[in-house]
Amino acid sequence: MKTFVDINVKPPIGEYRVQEQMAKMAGQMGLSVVGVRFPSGIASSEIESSREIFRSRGLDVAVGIDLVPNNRKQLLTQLGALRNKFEIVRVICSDTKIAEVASRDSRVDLISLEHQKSFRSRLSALCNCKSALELEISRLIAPSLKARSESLKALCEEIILAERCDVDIVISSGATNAITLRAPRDMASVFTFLGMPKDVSLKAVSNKPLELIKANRDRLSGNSAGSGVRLVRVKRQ
Amino acid sequence: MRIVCDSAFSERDLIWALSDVGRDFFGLAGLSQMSYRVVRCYLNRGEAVLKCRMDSVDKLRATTTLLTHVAGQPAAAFVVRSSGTIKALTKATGHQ
Repeated sequence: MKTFVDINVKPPIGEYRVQEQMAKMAGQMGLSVVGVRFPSGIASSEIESSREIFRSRGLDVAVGIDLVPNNRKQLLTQLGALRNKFEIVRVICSDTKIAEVASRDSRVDLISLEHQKSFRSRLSALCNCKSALELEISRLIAPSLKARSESLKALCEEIILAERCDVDIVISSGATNAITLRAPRDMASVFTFLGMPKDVSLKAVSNKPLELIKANRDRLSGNSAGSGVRLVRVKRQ
Repeated sequence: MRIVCDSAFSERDLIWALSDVGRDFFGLAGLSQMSYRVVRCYLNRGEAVLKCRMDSVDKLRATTTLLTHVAGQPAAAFVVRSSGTIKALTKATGHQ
């Protein structure tokens, strides 16, 4: 049986009833692993309480952070400080230069090109990209038809470019409450109609995010020294 | 499918909501090709059984995902299970 993952769930800070509703619904939708995502600067007690709420529903929880740097220097400083504290690190790229730096930095797990307006800026970000590209279904659940149309066009371009540049794609809900959560297979169906092959879209809600979480957990636990290098400790007698 | 909505809605509200979303995303031609209808509706549980053409299952799944409002109220929907027969569906979900 496939393990489905929603790697981007944004529980509202301090609203424990809403978080419990989200956790209950995530279980009903067939999710096994949930990535709770927070902006930078949130207290660790809030993060822990959110983690416990989701865990109490039998979900495996991975904690992630969204970085929104204003410039290259800020990005590198934030990565240095926060990389080893979170299982998932995503950079929301506000301009092309930040996108280029973030996509080539091996410390970044996911990038979001939501704020990139042109085809060229998306292409420059995805060329030689070491991170995975995250596509949120929340971009399509927009209030106005115009915003939805623009998001559709942007998502189609990102899918085409990711395939051309051989970049992994991860699909997530970006849910901020129970009403915006979506089932993994249903999300994969939407992206199939935007041009993603069916097997790729199913992997984007299962295998790809799971591999990311496992690799980071391995690295954070100290069992891994880098990509493809496993530490084997020998006991001295 | 299960529909999560804070306020009550009718079967007609659900059909209209799905039609609106299907038309926005797939157009009139795509919507008519889906050829779906509500077979059973359990409003107290917020569940409905829909029937569609076999090659339109993924289209209907996508339409369900993009549903954001029913009867003017914020709502979400997801497919609980898909099956070839209603008997197998009700057996798998444990509902009669």
